[in-house]
Amino acid sequence: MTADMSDSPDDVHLELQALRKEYPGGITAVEEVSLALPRGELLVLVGPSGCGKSTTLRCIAGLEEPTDGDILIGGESVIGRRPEERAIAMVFQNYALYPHKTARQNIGFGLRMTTDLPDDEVVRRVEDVSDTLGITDLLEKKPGSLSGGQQQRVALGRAIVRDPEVFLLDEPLSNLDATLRARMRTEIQQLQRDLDVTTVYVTHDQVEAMTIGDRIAVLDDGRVQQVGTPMTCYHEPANRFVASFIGEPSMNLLDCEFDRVAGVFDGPVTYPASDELTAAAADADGSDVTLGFRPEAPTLVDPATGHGTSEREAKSGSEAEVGAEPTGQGGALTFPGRVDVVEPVGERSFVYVTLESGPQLTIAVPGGTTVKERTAVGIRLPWSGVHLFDATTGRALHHPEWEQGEPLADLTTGGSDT
Amino acid sequence: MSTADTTARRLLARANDAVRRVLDHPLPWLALALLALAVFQLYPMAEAILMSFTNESLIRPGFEFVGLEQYVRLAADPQFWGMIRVTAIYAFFSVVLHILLGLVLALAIDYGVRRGLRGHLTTRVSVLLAWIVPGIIIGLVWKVMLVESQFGAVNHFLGVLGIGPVPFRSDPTLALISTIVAGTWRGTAFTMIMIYGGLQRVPERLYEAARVDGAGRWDRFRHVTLPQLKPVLFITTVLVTIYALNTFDLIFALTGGGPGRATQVLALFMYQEAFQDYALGRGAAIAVIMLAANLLLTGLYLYAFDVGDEI
Amino acid sequence: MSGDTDRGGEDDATATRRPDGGATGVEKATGRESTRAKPSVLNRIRAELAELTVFDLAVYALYATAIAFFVFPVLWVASASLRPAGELFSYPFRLLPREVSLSAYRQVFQAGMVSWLFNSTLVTIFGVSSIVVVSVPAAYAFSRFEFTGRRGLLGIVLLFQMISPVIIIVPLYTVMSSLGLLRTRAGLILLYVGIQTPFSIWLLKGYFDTIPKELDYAARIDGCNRLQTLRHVLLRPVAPGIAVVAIFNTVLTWSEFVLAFTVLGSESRLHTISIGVYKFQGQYGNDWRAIAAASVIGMLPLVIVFLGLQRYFVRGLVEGSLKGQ
Repeated sequence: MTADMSDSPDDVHLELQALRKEYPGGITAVEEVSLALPRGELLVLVGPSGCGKSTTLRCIAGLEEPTDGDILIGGESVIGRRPEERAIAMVFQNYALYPHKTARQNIGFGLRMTTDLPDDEVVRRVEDVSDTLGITDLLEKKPGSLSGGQQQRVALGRAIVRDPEVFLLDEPLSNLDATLRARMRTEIQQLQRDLDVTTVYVTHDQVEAMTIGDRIAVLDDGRVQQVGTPMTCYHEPANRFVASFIGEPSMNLLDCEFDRVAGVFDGPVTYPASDELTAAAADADGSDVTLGFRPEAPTLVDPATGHGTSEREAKSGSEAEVGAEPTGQGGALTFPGRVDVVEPVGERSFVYVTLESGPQLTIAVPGGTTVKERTAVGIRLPWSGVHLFDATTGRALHHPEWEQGEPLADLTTGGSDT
Repeated sequence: MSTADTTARRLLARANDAVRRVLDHPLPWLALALLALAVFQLYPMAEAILMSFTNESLIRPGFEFVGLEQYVRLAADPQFWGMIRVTAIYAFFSVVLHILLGLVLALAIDYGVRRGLRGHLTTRVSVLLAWIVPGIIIGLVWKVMLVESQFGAVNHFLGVLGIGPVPFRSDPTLALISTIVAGTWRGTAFTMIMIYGGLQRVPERLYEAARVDGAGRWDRFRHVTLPQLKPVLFITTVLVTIYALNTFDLIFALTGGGPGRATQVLALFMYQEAFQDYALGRGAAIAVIMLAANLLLTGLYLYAFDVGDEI
Repeated sequence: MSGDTDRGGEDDATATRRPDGGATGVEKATGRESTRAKPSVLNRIRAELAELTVFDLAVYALYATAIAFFVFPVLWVASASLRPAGELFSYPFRLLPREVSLSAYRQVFQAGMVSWLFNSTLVTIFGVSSIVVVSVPAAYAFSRFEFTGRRGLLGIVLLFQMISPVIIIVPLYTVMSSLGLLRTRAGLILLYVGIQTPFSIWLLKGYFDTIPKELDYAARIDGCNRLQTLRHVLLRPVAPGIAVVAIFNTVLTWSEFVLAFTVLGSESRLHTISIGVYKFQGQYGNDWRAIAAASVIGMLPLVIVFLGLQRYFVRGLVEGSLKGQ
């Protein structure tokens, strides 16, 4: 799948138009959700609990009827149609396998209930699907004697065998342990590609969302905050919520006031504004802005010498940045802090630094770096790592440039694919 | 596909839809049950309340509303209060014994299961055995066992211990005790089973945590088992109280209310008034009083146990 | 007492491994007992005895007392029923009769026991079936539907359960009379449905509640309407609950006296066992052997059935409460 997709691609297969779901008692689970998926796309609905992602999924499935809005599959509105008339299939968080039926019966049940297929055809399809999923030797067992991963596969089988137009998954991996989860994630992704079926995948785990989705839709409070490829959402979050939700550890956010006269951002630190940033800050409703930067953006420097401890400095254009330190007004791009905790993760370490003014920041440094807890450090934040958000509305004002990156050379043809 | 086929299909689909729509509403599912309840419980209850305000009787035709006269007459009747006393005593001791015995037995069986002791299954089955014997038969059986000469089974054993033949059924106090024991004999199975089920529900983790905290057996029982059993104990106590308050068949068979009025519980009294003396109005009044007592106690329990939504 | 899982030096075969949050101690018990039956029984017993604490002994004593207390009357009645005429009260007291005689039974059968048995069986089978047929859909509705007044209705249903039929016996009589249901077995059956469904509904609802709603959703997506969902998907998991309800109601219906007596009391060919035994006693006054025989036959079918099923009964009850949270 190529990188950036517009929000309304031409071959829309599944579309939600201004979906709204209210419950009696005044609770609005879904305020307004509009999405358009081309055929074969895997879209992840991600967001914190209560954001409306599961409700949206259930509306698509036909388990709930929306209060307002429309749902179209293949150009036809499916509102009012029963679930089995929508050509959808669903995998539930707890798999919802029929406990007293064998795996075989579980998989074949939907087929038998909704189609007139002859027995042997049903058997054939069930066995085909089991083969694909590698569960043929589990067919005679009941869910109670299957492991979590195996149950997961049977649930997938039950969904796939229906040959659905739309595939819905509701947090299918939350009940699995970490290793199994990672493996099943890849398998599901592979499966989806092979079947080329339009898929909506709900999860609250943003890491999962980032890795599995062709595109992700970030939801909060019943509204879509942003739809885009994982990389787009990561590098160009549309608002403050998306910025802090996507990315692990989350983006550092500092609330400041833009001092137009001094050309600095006044907040927990005093940070000089580049021309670009100044122009962006002008766009805000007022002078309250939020500075954001990902943990990997800054480098740690010795507060005395200003020499960096990061390799990155030594590499690419950071020398140029060091040289581009502003002269005159305002502070440098470096501000002081005190190291609280260092969390080695392997090839990286996360350093939690507390600023004098209070807030705690997360900085990512290469794994081999020696940083001691309770020492003073300087945090150098180049302009190339700074996002700007309107503090009042949360809207994004500025993102640093980012490169999609060259795709790997196609080894068979010997050429690259751009 | 012929037109006949398509029309048939369409009709079938329409019928299918209609069926679905009906089924998607709770009423058809509840209809039979609600009907049965309305006819055989709701209506008679309303009737009973109404009847209690009349002087209806099967002896003479016609009746008239007499307001609270039935209740007043009952309140003025010392025998009535005597029966209230008997019923209260019977119910109270029955409930206490039921719950205690049931609790002790459930705990003992549970313990036996965990510890791998023998005989817990037999014990459980024995207790349950007593429960399934029809109440009327229990009354008769105990009647026979408590025969008041040295030929009676119980008296024989007491005789071995040197206690003279005990007049189980002709002494007023002993008669009441006999009914309580017989009732407990039968009803303990119910409490035991309910509590046993509740015991299984107590998470093992809580016991482990308590042991780590240094709690001994008694402490664990007091601080883990009992609180966890609260909802079950509540339900069980309510049900047993109602069962005890309304006991009829067992006492009917064992003592018939005697000697004199010593074991005349309200249920018996009501029955006799209505079916032997044919004073329907009066019988209904007693029934309403019993109903009120039931509801009152249920409410009291709700308050005391503070269970609320846990049910 | 509870929660004490000291194992001492016992090996795995006898250890009770408890799954998280509960136990299937019932099944473990029987399983273990069979393992013990195998090699070196004597050694095992010896080992067990050595391990007993004082507490254990107390519990054993309790078991013995309980068994004696609960079983004795039944045994005694059986013994009484087998004595020849006039032999009941002998001195010294004997638990086992000197000679066994079935004369008491002959008496009872002549008095109409066959008809009583038949009536009781009829009423019980049809009564229990009707109760189940009415309770299951109602319990499903309470568990699976959200509608205004659901809680209220459930509360009212429960309230009815709190009311013993004895209280409303008088107006019940007039209702039955006006509906023409007096002196009919069908009438009694309908009455039992009305009286015993609240408890059954409550019990069954509990079982339904333990089945996650996701199963219903999956079934819907698989194309089932509610009835199909109930039949294909929910019925099996709920089966233990239905078994418990069936057994409960069988015991209650078979033993029931007051209502049966009110409805059928005046029609001797329709007497159930409870009525028959009672009337028998009225007739035969002090012939205790005959009464004992009648009692034995009165409880025998139920005892046999129940003893065979009691394991499922307890298991069903325990399972129901286990899954509850």
